[in-house]
Amino acid sequence: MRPYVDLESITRRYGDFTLGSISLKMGRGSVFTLMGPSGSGKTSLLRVISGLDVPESGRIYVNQEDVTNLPPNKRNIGLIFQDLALFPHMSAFDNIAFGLRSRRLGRTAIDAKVEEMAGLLGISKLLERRPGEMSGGERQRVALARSLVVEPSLLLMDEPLSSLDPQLRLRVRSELKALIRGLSLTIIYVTHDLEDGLYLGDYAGYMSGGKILESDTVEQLYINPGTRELAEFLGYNVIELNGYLLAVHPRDLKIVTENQDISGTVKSFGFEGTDIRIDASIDEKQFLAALVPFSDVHKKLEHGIRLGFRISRSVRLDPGDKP
Amino acid sequence: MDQHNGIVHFQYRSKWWLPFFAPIIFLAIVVITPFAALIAGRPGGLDLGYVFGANPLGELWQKALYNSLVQGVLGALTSMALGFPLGVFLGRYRLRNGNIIRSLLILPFFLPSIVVVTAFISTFGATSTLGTIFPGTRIFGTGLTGIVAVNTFFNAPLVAFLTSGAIEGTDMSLEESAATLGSGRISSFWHIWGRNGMLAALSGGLITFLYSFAGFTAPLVIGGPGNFTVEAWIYFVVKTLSDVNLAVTFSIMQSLILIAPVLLYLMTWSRERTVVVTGMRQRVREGIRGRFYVAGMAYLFAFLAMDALILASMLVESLSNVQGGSMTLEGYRELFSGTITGAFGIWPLLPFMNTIFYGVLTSLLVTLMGALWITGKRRLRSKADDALDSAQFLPMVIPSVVMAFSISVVYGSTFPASLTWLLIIAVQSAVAIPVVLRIISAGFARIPENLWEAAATLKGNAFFEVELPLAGSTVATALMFGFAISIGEFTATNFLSTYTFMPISVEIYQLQYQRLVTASYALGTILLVVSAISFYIIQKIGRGFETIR
Repeated sequence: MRPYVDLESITRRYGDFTLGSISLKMGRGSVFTLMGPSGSGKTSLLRVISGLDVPESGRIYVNQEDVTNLPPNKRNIGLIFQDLALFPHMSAFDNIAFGLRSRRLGRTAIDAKVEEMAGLLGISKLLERRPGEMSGGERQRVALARSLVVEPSLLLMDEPLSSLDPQLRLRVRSELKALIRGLSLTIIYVTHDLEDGLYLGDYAGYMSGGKILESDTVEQLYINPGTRELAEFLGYNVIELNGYLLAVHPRDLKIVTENQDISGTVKSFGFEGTDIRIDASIDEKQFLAALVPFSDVHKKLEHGIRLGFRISRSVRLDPGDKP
Repeated sequence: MDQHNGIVHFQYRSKWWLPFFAPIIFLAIVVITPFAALIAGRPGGLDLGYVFGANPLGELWQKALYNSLVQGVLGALTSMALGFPLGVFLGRYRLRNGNIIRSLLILPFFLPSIVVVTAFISTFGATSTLGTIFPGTRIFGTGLTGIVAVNTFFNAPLVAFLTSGAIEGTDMSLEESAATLGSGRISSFWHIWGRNGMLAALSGGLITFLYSFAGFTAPLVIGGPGNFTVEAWIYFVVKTLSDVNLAVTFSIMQSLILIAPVLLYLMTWSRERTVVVTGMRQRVREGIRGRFYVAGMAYLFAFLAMDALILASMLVESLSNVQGGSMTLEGYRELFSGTITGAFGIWPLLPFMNTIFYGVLTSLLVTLMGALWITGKRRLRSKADDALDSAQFLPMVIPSVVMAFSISVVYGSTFPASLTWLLIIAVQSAVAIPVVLRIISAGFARIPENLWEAAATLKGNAFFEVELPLAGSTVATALMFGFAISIGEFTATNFLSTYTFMPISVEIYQLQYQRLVTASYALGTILLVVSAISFYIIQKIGRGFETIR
């Protein structure tokens, strides 16, 4: 029995860039967030899975079916684009009904399904409006409704929250998470935003240079990064100390006056809500960032002073994994 | 504190009203006032008995209107039928040297009408080589079929150009999105990318209808009175019958009829402008060598070959010896000899100098008006700009011959004959306004508003130091378009010109009128080359500046 989503050694070349032998397995109803820097191949992988691009080798199975050679319109895989790609000349209703009409459903069934989905996403009053007449959050919901109404076997989402302002982004993200849980959707969610990726995913993978370097549950991936690249992406300091290469999270550094593990010269600092961020140089080549609770800063911070830090937790990285 | 005083701020803004209204003021002087004065000065007002009565003049109007409608509809249908498939092919496939191919394709649209009509006579006329070998082809050199063929030759490339641009401009992610929602090829064509192409083709068809309905050169030269459009009859009744009243009635009726299609065109144009898709990616296929590609290439080749045949035949005929036998440069020699002096009583080079003179002054005047208008519009952030933009399309409602006719009647008596050149430049500028201002508007729209605001806060000259350098290609293109429209404008210029003030386009017609056919072909070839060079410069300058940007 195959996993619900099973990618077997997918490869595909795009000019100088290669999507290299990617394998991925997912269970039904799980959310896999694919993170990584721009240009790492995340969107390209979604294009291959959706059928917009054809892999040069490898197989794609969804719900036990080999969809590798099926065109995108026969796969029943939904894709929400970064810019949402709502049809500007159609109303919200027609956008949502588009996929149902393509499946040749009757008018009554289409009306019922569109209204049900619109009700679920709270956009019933927007159905007559065109995309140009909606706010960013409303457009987001219409795009989601358009993809969900056709009940896709797998939903691919390509950074759909990236164009929203921070406040709205948090709200839509929360609603999206509730919807995913409520409908038990199977989703591959691409983002370069760490917080989105961790919040939305059950599992997560880190992609770089056309390959998935690491994947695990979101908690494990965050707590135990295995490579320098992922550690840096997650915001860890990567420090050489006593011959070891260590990943140290800024929150795992404490300011101390004695028994220090490491010291640094303050380059800059600033208040970030509950914590103070301190950027310091250990030596000419190494830098570190520390997030220290405001109450723990007993010494007056000044540019150029020397501070000692104790490391409360660190992850040992492969010493050969140098930049 | 003066800068925050409301009155000072109002004064700062108010100084832009005059530049903003510059084109409208110009059109009011050159087009609206003469046309209104013509109507007002007409004894007895509008005599509808002329056009609706069962009398010879009524029948003449009805026949003229019928001809205009038939030529307009047939021209639009054939242009769309031939241009749309080509536009689809060009929009969906990236071709090697695609820019050169597109330039060659659209060239006929920019050629002076008299050049194209002359080329058709040389290719399909009764005495042409092709017409002699294949008599069946002569239908394209005369009568209604000839007029429709000329209109199609002009406008099918425009339809193809607009269609391909709209298809290329369709955001790829919309098509991909449709595919992932289960949409097949036909549905995707109908609802997404093809829809844009079809709308553009319809827009092109509407322009073709307008140009063909108000067609002048082809009906006049190859159509004969039985195929005269309203426009051609207006020219005829004024020039030959001297019946101003009838001409005025025809002019008003034609303008009233053209209002609806012009408004329809403006509506489709403004709808196209307002569809903004961010982060657009183009859908262009490369390397696909299937059936559609092969068929498309064959069609493209046939299209270009037909263009080349028609234009090259004029060159061949310009070199042919009337008595038969070897090639000769006699036609070209006649242009610069006593033949011209004998026929028209002018220095042979005068039409060339007139052409350049009109071209330079028209392009400078219209581009200057465009620059003033767009700067005023940007500074004022006018809310009423849609209505004012639409007013600039007035020259499409009041056709060239009517403009020339009314301006000559109203201002002709106050202007001495020696200033006829001024009237010609005024009318040519009015004709150029809809096109040139649209180019300037599109070019300046790409410059963010906050750039001039930034320049203003830094006390710099926003127009000369920021906007003009950024819009260099736009201004250069506008100048060249102004020049090209001037040298190609035949209808109004022919109406106003005397021998002393005629440019090359009118001289070609006069040469044919005087049966100096080979010389007319030679002059047509020269004008063709000049037009092709100015078009090449338009393309080249525009692209050069794009690269710099």
